[in-house]
Amino acid sequence: MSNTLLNVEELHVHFKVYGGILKVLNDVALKVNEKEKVGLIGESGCGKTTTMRAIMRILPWNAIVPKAKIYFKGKNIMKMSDSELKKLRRGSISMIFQDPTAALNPVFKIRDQLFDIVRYTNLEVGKNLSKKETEEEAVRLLREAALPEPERILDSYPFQLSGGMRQRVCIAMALASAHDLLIADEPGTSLDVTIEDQILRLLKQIVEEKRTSIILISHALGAVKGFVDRVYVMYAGCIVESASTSDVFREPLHPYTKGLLAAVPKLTGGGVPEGIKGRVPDYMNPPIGCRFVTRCEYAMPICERKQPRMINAGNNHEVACFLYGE
Amino acid sequence: MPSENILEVINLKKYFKVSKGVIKAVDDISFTVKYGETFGLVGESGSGKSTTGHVVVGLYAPTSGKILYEGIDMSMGVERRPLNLKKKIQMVFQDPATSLNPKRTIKQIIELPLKVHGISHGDASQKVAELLQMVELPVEYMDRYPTELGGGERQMVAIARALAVNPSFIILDEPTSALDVSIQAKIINMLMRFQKEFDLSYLFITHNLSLMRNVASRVAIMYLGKIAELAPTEEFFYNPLHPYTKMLLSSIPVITDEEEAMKPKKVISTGEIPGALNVPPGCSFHPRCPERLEICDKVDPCMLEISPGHFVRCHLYNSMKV
Amino acid sequence: MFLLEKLKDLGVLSPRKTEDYKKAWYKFSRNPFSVAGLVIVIVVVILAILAPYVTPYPHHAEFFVDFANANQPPSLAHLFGTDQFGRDVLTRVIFGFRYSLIMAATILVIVTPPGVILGLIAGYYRDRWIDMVIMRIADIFVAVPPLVLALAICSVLEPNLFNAMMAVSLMWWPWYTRLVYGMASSLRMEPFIQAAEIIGASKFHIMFKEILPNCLGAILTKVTLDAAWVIILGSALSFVGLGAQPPTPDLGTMLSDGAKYMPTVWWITIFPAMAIAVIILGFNLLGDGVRDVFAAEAH
Repeated sequence: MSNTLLNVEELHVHFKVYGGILKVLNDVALKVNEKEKVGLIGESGCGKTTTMRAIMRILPWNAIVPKAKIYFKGKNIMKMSDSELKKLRRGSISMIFQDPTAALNPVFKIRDQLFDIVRYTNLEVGKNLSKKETEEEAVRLLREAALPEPERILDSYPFQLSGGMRQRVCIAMALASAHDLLIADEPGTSLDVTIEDQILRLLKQIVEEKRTSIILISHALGAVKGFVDRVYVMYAGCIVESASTSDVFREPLHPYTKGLLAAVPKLTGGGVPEGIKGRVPDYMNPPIGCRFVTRCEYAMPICERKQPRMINAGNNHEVACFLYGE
Repeated sequence: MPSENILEVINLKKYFKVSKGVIKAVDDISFTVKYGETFGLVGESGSGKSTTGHVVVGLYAPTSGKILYEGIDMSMGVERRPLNLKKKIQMVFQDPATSLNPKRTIKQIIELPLKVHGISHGDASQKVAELLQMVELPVEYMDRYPTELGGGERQMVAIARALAVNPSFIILDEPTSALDVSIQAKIINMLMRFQKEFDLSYLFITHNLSLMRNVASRVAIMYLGKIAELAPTEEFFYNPLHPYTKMLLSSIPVITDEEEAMKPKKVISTGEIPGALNVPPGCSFHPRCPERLEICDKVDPCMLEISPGHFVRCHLYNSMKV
Repeated sequence: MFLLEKLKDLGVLSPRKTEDYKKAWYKFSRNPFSVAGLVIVIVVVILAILAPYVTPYPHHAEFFVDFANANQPPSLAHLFGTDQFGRDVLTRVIFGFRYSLIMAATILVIVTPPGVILGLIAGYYRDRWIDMVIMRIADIFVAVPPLVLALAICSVLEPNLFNAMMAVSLMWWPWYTRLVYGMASSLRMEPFIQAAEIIGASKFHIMFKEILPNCLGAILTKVTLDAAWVIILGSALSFVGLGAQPPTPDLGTMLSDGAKYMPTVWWITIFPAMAIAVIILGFNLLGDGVRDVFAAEAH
């Protein structure tokens, strides 16, 4: 049994906005083991990114965290001091964002941006690199991200690179500091299909070689399927199902997961399936019971009154739904 | 005999002059759309598929070539098209967040085409309400602003606006790629229903091949401004010929084993689409092509009809022409 | 009551609009500095309007001489002291607000509509000849520093408040043209404008009903911030003797009058200077708040 790297429990995040409070994350719990590849899937606005921001402690100013336990290697991130946080972000966890164009500063060369990261992450572990060593390390990282001609890349501005190359640069930057966990937030979504495919294959190869853990966030179910070991499904700020990847795709249990999988048009044809009826609940007044109750075709009276807890339906397949017991 | 084609695009070219040269966004493409069919146009970004849609609807005048709508020459910008023909061709844009004016209410948005085309004079509330009901939105939405609606609901407003003038041809430019899958299904089904109900013909532009498989009757795939392959949907997916089609098909993420089995296996995607300013000589796909021949970087291949209705532009099939 | 009904009929007080106002206030009031700016501006405006009733010596405002009481330092009778003619400085400062505000309001009312309309036209017809003509003319006016042009005009014509305002207006409109030009030329590429073109909407509709509403936030923000600039410029013109003429209680004129008696009789100069600073601060803070109200929804 491998060790738990990241353990999130009872994470609640609210946002203060005009007219009230958005109760976005509701009792989110997830676990990432060492060397594990975990997927977090869900539709836009379900709180995937908010969860990751809470883990990195980079929530926007109007966020309120009424309750949270986030343990990284046994230490509570929520209680970390600024210097401990800095150490965490420089040495342990790193994030790759959806839009590589926005993640890179347009007015600096890749050299300047990557060198800073390389320098400071190494300072954190007590290594003061010389200029030459920094350059060697940067070139090595770019090579690792499968970028051809790393020396030329270093001397380019972000706008001189294509979208795929920019995302590879972002991956190289993340690799500099991600010694334990890499969080990839929709890393291929803003890119073309063929490029997304290349990026995902590269990421998978890198994390397997370096034996780091990864959380892959995506709304593209197919992209997650070929990549991760275990999947969490999120709906309206709640984790509704978690299981090994093959279990989720072969035998989804939660009505939402079933609906979501059924809604994807298939390459084999058969017409466009019906989507899930209704709309995502209002975060200002979410349902008291299960948040999916308004759209669920199996809704029972209990679903409106009580929040379902995660229960084990066998084979480590967990689901938050009263259909499978209380 | 009256033509079976509602739209004919003949040798269409659209070039853009920029400071560093000329971008050939659409470079000599021809296709037809039959009455009542959904013609699919796939490609990655920069392939020219959206530009093609924009030229057909008249947002740009073509550099050369012809667009015939029911035999009538429409090869000009929308400004110079007669008002009664303008309403025949409508468009639904990719992102409803930008295709609806954030400062105008839903009523004002849907009312505009009704007023411009004299469909209703004075208070158009009644007609707007009917259109909202048609796209299954509550009538109370009239007073709301687009930002107060969900993404799917906004796209339904955009569809209602397009349908307001009783068009016969609608260009759907990635109508669901900004939306979630559970909503995508609803929008697509609604569009398919309206197609039957109002005898609409669609030009469906998307990069999503799985979606295309389920909506289009014929599919054309574009690469750097040119059509690489054009075939009836079944043919296109079960017997892809062009190496680029195969590469694209093998790159798409799928969720079931049956789909996995259907994908062409061997082609692994390499390289990226070159910039539009330095299009490779010969066949523009040759630098990425796993089946490249000697001739490929010298001569641009011609469109060949391999089997009835199945066209491919690739030197591999030079000897197989029917 | 009747007025309220009337407003409801006009749609100004419809539930929809009331909701919008509430939301706008919510965004505005997030920043306490914006609220402070609003309070400053409201107080200044009220003081200016009610000047004859709230000032201790309203007859001191313009022509008045009382040498017996000249150059008195601040006291209970004269909180800001008296000037070289024995006039109450507090009274004159409050009347001074009037001229500053009238100047700002007049200039901005004259300047904004033509500036905005020209910007809309040039932006929508970007890269056509009409864009070239409008923007090159705007460039010419922008190239001349405002104060220099105003100086030139006021020295040719008779120096008075009216001519000063005309001079400032003449070089102020291009800034609105430029602002709106930039916005309009990028907005015209937005899909919602393309949608209106496909439908066949008129140019007038596209410019004024589709593009303009999306520029209003930026225009209003600029108007608010510009009020401060116009007041500075107006005071500067008066200071050099080309704007309002004595004995008009203009803050700039008061500054230049008082400057001769510095530093011993400091109160004649310091209080009008502080008054200018306060108005400018008020409008700047208010402008930041207005910008927050119109800032894109970030949530």
